[in-house]
Amino acid sequence: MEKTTAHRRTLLSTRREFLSRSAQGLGGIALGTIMDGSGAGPLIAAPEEGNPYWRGAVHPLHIPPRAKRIIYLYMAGGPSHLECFDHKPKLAEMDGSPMPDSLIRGEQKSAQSGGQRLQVLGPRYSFSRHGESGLEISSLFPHIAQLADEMCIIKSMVTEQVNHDPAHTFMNTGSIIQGRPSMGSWMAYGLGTESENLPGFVVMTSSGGGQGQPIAARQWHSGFLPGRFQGVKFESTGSPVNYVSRPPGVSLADQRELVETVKSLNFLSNDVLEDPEIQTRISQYEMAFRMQTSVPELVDFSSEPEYIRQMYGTEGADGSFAANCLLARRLAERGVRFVQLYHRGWDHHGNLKDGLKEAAQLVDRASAALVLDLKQRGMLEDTLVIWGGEFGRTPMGQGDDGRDHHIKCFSLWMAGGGIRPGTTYGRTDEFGYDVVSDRVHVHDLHATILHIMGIDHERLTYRSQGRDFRLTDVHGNLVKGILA
Amino acid sequence: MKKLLIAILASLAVAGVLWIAADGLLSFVLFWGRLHSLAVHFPIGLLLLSGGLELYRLARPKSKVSEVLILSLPLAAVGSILAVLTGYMLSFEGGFAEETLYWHLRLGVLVAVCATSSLLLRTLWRFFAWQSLERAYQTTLFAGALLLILAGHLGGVLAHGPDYLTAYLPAPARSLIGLAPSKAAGSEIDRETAVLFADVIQPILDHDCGGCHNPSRKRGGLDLSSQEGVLAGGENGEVLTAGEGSSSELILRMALGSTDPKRMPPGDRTPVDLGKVEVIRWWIEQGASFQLQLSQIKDPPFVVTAYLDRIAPQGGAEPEGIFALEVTPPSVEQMEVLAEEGFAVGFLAEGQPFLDVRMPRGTKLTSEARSSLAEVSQQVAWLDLSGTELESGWTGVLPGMTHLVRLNLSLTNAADQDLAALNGLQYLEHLNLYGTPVSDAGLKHLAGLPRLTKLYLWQTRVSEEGVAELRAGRADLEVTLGETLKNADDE
Repeated sequence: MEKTTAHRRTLLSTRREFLSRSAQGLGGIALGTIMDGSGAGPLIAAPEEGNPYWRGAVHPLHIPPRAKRIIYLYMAGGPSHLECFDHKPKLAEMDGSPMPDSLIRGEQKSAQSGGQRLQVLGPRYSFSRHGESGLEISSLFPHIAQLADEMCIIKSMVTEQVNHDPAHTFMNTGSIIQGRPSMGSWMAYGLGTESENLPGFVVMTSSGGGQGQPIAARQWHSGFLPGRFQGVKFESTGSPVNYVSRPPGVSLADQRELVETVKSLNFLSNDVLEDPEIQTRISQYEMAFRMQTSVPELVDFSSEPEYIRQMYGTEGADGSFAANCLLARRLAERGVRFVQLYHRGWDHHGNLKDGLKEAAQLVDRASAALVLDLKQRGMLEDTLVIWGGEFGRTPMGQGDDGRDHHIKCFSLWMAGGGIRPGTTYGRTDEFGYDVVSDRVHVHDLHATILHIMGIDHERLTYRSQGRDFRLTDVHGNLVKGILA
Repeated sequence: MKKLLIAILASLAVAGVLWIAADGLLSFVLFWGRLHSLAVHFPIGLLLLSGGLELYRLARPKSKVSEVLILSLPLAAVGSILAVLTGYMLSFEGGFAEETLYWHLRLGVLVAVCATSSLLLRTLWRFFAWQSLERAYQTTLFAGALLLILAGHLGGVLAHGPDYLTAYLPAPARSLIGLAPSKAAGSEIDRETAVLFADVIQPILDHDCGGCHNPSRKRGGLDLSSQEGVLAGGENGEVLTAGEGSSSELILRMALGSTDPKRMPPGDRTPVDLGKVEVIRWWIEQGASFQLQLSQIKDPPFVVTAYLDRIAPQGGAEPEGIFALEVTPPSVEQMEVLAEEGFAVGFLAEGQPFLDVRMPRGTKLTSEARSSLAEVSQQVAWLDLSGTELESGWTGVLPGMTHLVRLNLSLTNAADQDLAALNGLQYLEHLNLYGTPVSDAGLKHLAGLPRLTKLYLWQTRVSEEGVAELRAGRADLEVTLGETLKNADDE
């Protein structure tokens, strides 16, 4: 078949894709990238039939990795740092008094707080010190508090977006412009896979405790990266993956034959078009086929002992955050690079006290159980656990019992993966309104996460529309202070 | 012909008068004065050439170099007069170090006098056969050439500053001639002892401003070569106000657009690197202390650390453990064989010979796989055999892996006696034995692992007493026997 101009353009515009696809192509380990004694090799791999491990676009890694996988417990809605991890006694003292003008003069108010009298709202929950490190953690989290000596609380997180959806997009992709790859897609692209029969990037959601603002599927989109790096959403109840079970009367061999035939047809057209999306389709068929056997084993919670299920507080596959945590550990054990669990329930414009309690109860035990379970399996040292939302909440009350969105500071904690345990990083002022020292911008967080995974954030790039893109765009500084 | 010459000279004179009438005498003078740097190099070359030729003629009297001297010496004489004239005109521009200028001017005049008189003497000697003048001619010529070198050097000092010649001398040579160690931008900086102004900012000023703002050449009356000079400011007043970085003249001038006549450095010259400007701005905003040491800056801002990292990169921590060792990387063939045997294998990081090797769960570590692994035993740093089936004799591969740092044997049938094979693995830091039949007896084999810091023993037959015995005197050894979450739901 004659290659048309359009075909050639497709081919040229995706040269890098072609290279990386060659690396993965036919399921080859990226053997071509092996050092020839000089240290660095080309990106093109020798196709190696039968070995499904693709080691990613960054191979070898820029630095020895501190972690090999990430479990991101994403508290969607904006948990109040003032009731969770950033203790501000001054707020209790000034409860009900007007917010000092020096702090808020000239600041833009959100649509919801605009025009209201801005009064200080004291913390709705008490704090106490925990562990040998003495980290201050709110009484909302009696189980997470038991991790005090494992975690690093960053109190000086800063974001740029004050509404949920753009703030999620910013946290996930480093940009508010839609169409950029999410963090998990960058990881899958950069690090490749450690699992031959599960996707590299898995997402699950749960909700409860507050207004369950929706989460758009674009939050785990691969953007301009090839589609196979997109997050795969697993269902939290029943069978986690839709449409992979075999129809009645179709044997595994029949299915295999069908997949092989479709694959050979796809390869034929791929030879002409060399379109990344055809390669994605080929690999997705393969993956779906392999998941027919891997998924039932993955979700067989009966293999989990009773005390483990009690530890997490779930029997599994019941749609809860706890069940998602248990599944996340099982995914991590099977080599999935990036698991992101959204819990939608932290948007407390009103009903702050009770809503927080409810949301905390839904995630507290399972979050702690996940970290400890990883630890006893020896997996915490190379798994990075991140717990946090897209922004914080105002020290000013919204109504009698609520707080508005706040982007000038919020808290987030991490554990495992080379994180300095039992520490806090950054400080906010005595109202928890603004960062006083060691500001950690979302871009800095991204740079640090990539560093933990062995990647220099300035060197993980992908060319799209004539420009090299990074997760951190042109920003991002490594936060050395949180690393062990 | 004569008329034409008169016409040209007359029109030049009229043009000159009109010029002076329009723009003033100073601009007329300075226009010609600035041709000094152009005019000065011809007599330098020609006079040195004439002196050299005359020396050659002394050694070889029969040579015909005199033919060249007939041309080079008159040109040198005329050129030196022109250079003196333009130089004198340039001196009205001001901003030059007075003493240096004084000597440069006088030496320049002397050079011109010498050149002209040697031309005169030579003409008398050669064409009027006044033989006794030969020595006098030679003396004046050589004296002129020697004085020229001195005058030229002073001219260089005026144009480029006193350190221009010596700034890049090697340190031993500098100390030999009694100069302080050079502080050219980018030289070694000891972050413990360095002073922000003296060691970071002064070198920037020297490098980017020193050409015009030095003690010899205070353009605009400003000398930026020292603390005193910076504080004294220029003819327009102070150049910095402590605490006000963005409105200080020093910063303003560098921040102006390239077409602004007040921008420094002026004209088409390369602007001062923005990173440098930001360091100076930050220093002024912090109070422009001349004593502030780098080590005293709490939470140094990005502008400072980024600049320091650029000019004096910290070598990073010294490589430790296996990374300090010289180990040859595995061959491509060895890697291919590992992949064929089912290992997921990759380098730990770029530039490292060490490997991260994993056998997928549920597979069997065959004897073929073991021998492929033995091929790279020096390179394996991380080995993950978790959940694999180990055949008897599998431990044979371990003792050779002297650079092993992490070993994951969890969920295998690794037994007490197998752990004996770990003895002597002096770099082993992490050992995961969770879910194995290992007991206290096996732990005894681990006592000789000097770097072991993490040991995972959940779901083994190991007792707390066994762990306590192993940990005796080893506070750095962290042992995990399983975690419990205290039930807080009832509170």
